Amino acid sequence: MSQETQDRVIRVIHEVTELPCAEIAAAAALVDLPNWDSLMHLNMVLGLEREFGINFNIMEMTEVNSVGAAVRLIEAKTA
Amino acid sequence: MKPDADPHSGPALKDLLAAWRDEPPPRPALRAAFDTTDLVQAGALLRAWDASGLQNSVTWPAAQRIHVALCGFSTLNYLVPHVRWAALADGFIPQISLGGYNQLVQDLSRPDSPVTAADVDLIWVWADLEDLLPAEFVKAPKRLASADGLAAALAAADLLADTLTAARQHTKALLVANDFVPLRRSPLGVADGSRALGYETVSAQASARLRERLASIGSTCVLPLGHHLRRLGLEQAVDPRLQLMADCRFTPECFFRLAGSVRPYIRALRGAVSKVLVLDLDNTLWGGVVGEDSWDGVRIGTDPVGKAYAAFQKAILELVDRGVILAINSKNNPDDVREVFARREEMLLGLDNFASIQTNWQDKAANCRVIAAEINVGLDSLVFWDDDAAERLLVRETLPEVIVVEPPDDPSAWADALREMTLFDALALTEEDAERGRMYAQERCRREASTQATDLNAFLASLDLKVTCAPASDENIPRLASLLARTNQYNLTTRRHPEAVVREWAADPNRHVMSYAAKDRFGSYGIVGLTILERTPDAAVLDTLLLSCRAIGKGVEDVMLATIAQQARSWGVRRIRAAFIPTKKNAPVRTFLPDHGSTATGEHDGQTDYVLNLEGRDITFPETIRVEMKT
Repeated sequence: MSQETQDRVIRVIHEVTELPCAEIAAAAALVDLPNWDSLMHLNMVLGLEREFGINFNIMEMTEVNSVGAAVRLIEAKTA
Repeated sequence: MKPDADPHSGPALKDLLAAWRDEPPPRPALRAAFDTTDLVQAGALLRAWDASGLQNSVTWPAAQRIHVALCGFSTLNYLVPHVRWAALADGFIPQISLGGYNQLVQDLSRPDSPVTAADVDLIWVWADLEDLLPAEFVKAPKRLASADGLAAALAAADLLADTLTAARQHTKALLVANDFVPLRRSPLGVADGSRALGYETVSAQASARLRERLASIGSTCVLPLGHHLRRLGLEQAVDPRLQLMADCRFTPECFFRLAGSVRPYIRALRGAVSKVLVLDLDNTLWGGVVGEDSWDGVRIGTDPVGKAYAAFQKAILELVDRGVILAINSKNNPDDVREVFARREEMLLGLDNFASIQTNWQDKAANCRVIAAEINVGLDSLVFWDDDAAERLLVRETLPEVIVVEPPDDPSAWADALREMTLFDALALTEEDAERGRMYAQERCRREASTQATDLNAFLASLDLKVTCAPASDENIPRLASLLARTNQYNLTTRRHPEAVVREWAADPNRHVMSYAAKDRFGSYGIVGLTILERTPDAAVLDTLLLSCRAIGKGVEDVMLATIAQQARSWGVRRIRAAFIPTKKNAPVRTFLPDHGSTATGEHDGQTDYVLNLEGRDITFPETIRVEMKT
């Protein structure tokens, strides 16, 4: 798992939520973050698509439920 | 439209935002910083704006603020930042209220919802046909393309119209509702085309019904959602994943475009509609340079390149037809220019179409000032179109209030670009708009006659002016609403009352809403003035007195004063209370009240209050003017 990818993912989530990066990194699942809702989830996914120049299908969109899951999916797509 | 230099670059914008803390920017400065066609750039600009804190740290004047409410059945959250950006792109400080998810009817039915709050200026209503149809038609869309389906679709349109009609009782905001657009092809497949009643026909008829019903509500418009979706393309406008994840019907790119489409409504509400299109000639109205190619060598209308310029002229004529004023700003010898207009049959525009003609070797910014002065409009009413980047840069840097268009590189794209421009869009058109071009040409003749006259009073008397005073009625209310929205200079209080309010007051026996039309020996000015008087126990209160700039200084002002004095006396009151509320543009009317015998009674919040005592004073109609008083 690349640290750089993880940092970039956390930065995208930080832009969407305005939460501190440390708090995001520590969360086991995104639903654990304060005020997390379906709109934030969607914003995050769209932000990740822009950041990494990739496209998620609908299943992948729902599966991105943690920082770890996001990094794994992104690395699979950009390998 | 891409600017020549990039004022959007990070460091430059940060400096601007810091400087604005000490000196709040006027609208042109905000526009220069925020106007863009790029979604990502708009987002970055908005983030920089929010980070600056200027939104709340500055006390912005009411005329520079706009409050937009959004309501609908689906997720509109993505629209909010784009609408904020859209307001800033025209220099307005935005406040956006978002209605509840799926709460359109509830939000519009209550007088105190975030959407119908008293200070909301514009309510944007997002409803699809599917939101309004009974469930059976949504489950089985094929059924829509039938007589039952049509009846259900019309009933759905009525449902929305009824909701808006009821909302009108709770709010004075402009109501803007999207038309109905099918986002999919017919569930009947190509068989749809063999039937008289197809899937899209039903949707179109529902839109027609909506439009018909909304036209009778007042201060209500249908926004052509279909047009904008066609231009963007459904494939770019819709993303099923967003629908599935968050009931979000359109993509961020689509919301960005649509937010841009609401800009003309905001400008119209704030009286910021552009009025004059200032045009260069060489390589703008025709191909080539007349000084070099001669009148018969410039390209208009015969070859493909010439046809592109002819098409551009045709698009300009369409603007004239809806009341846009034209001016020429060209570095040329007047004789060369006259020859092209006179001798080239392919020319669609004639010199008669122009209210001001500056063909000289002076700099184009100075010419813009002359044009604005001659037509009697502010510089910020001008839109400048010139093929030459250096000229555009000069005007943009010298006169930030003038809107300088960045035309597409290819003239064949100009006709379309001009048609898509919304700078001149007003909320409604009146007959006066179609006549405006002819009236300004007449005004050019009057100017030429008056420069020849040596005695101003004799000149005025020779005009043989006639003023017709008529109470507000169905016939003239649209024109009066237009005057309230557009008139900046000769306007005592600049109250932008919407048409719905004018209608209400016209029927109110305690209010006197009067229109003034003028005519002289050169032609008719149309309806140029408006007074609104309110009866109170101890005085008549003058809410509004305004006069179109082309009629100033000819005596119509005196007729208006005499008319309201007459009305006040008939109400049995002995004084008229009035106020002068100063704005950046209404210096011309500053001394009207004291000049006509009013006494100042006090000042507050920048406003000066006056009282005009009618006792023992004869406020008569001017002798040299014929007055017709209609009832």
